[in-house]
Amino acid sequence: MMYEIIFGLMALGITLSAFRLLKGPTLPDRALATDTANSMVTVVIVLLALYYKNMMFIDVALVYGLLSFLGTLAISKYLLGKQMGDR
Amino acid sequence: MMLETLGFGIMIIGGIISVIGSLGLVRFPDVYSRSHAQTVVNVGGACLMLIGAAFEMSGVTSIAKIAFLILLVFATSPVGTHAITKAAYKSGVIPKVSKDEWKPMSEKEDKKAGAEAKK
Repeated sequence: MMYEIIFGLMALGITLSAFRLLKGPTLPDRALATDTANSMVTVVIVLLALYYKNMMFIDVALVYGLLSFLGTLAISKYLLGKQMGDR
Repeated sequence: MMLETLGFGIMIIGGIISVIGSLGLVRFPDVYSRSHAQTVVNVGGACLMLIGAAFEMSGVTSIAKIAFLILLVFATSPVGTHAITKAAYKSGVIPKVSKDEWKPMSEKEDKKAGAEAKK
């Protein structure tokens, strides 16, 4: 029962940031909304590990967190007109 | 039993903070104030949820992995937010304020970078 409440709260949060992702007037808005949704999805994966009692999901969450960080940095480099590796 | 209840309490507080931060993401006026709401979700919400989830786990390995994940979220989310806001300013998103105090310093920085590129 408790897990369902927490999943509901996370679903509400992800829906609100998806609204900003669809509406956002500029590209940095969409990048921010994507980053927010990514951090919440990382948390949801850890909660799924508890829900299904399978601790392998935590490794998935680790890789997801690292890759979402790299994606954010790549988007900001693209906004500056540079490529990964430039100063 | 006591620890599980404490963990659920922390997780529910983290979920409410996440929803409040997402509401700020919807309602704030421009990118720079929205980045504040995004940091609330990342550091406040996600870190509290992960700490609460660590209370529910059994076994040293999964708790160590959760600790590494908390460190990861705590270290990388400010870096990403800072990169996005700086890129937004440089790519010409105008902040909705009465006086833009960063503008002269930003122009000076651009001039310096241009001079270095000429060398």
